Amino acid sequence: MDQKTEADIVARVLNGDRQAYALLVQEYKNPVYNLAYRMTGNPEDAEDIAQEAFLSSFRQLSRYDLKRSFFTWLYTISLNIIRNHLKKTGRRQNDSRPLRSLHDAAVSDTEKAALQDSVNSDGSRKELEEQLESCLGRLSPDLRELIVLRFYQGLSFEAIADITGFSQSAVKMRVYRGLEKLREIMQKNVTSSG
Amino acid sequence: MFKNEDEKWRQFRDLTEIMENAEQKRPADDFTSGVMARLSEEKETSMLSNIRRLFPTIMNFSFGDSVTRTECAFYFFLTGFFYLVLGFILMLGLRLPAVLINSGWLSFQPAFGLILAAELALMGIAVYKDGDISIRFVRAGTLLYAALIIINGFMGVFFVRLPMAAFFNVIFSITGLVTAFLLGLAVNRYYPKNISQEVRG
Repeated sequence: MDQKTEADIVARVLNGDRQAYALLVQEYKNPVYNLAYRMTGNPEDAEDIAQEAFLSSFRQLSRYDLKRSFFTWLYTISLNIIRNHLKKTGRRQNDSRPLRSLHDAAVSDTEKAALQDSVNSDGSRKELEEQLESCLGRLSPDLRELIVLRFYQGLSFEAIADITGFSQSAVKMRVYRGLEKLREIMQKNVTSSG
Repeated sequence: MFKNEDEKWRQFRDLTEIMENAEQKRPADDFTSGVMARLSEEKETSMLSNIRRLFPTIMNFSFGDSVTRTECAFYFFLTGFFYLVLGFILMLGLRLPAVLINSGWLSFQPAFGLILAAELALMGIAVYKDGDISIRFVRAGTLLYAALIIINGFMGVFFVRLPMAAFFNVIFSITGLVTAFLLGLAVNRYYPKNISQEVRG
């Protein structure tokens, strides 16, 4: 959906056509839900957060600047709600879940090559995804959100900078640091389970 | 700042590839209808919403855009500067007639102007330094400013009964309250340059 269409829909909603808002919900429900899910690791929480994000953005719609992308704005609201949720619940994604063995996701150079091969097989890919999700849940929320936005959501560094308020270089540094930490967590897990 | 970028990303390629190709999670099929149902249960109850509904064009035209951190701080500094000048003018130029020489209220007005100037300047500095953190404090400060104007106006009504002083009181109070309202709008529209810092979830 382009920015002009978004702006038209927002204008319709602001003029009293509430049902038009369904078009925006329909368009963006998947990425918002996916973001919430990746951050919380819980489908019920993700559903609640995504709903709250859309309700919150509706309530604040009069503040929305039509010159900006609705998607970026919505993401910012969603992230704020997710942060508040994580603060309230005081738990990290998947903390309750025990980390699985990460032998397959090993980190040495030779193992990396093996990993690349294993990524190609569907069964081990699924397992790797789950293992990585577990480790991601151990990252601090601020680093986790940047990694989720960049890699799970596929957003550009520029878009992430817009959403989070950091400069592009700061986003890159933090994403890099997040990946390093992620690797560290995986290494620890390999060591402890080995 | 970020040297050998490609090389640095490449060392994490094994991880990022998994994340990039991970399945996109989707909400339940009735998600949209659920949101719309909850939406219809909500009623716009805020006074501003009701006023906006009555005067949609005027409201959207006048204060539809967001106010950035610098703009918001500027409004506070400007208003503070107004009271600073007013305070000095009253302090240096106000020659009270003999009948009012003991009027505590009128002789307090220069100091009152300077107090307001200091408070507004403080709000301006707070917004400028870190609007995200201080915005609630600034909102409270704006309310305090309005409250001080009202209290000062009432005290003027009770203590001074001369027409000239009453006229000054009315003008001072109305100007102050209109300014407080506009500052309040600016605070509500506060939206720093980067989107993330602005939207309150």
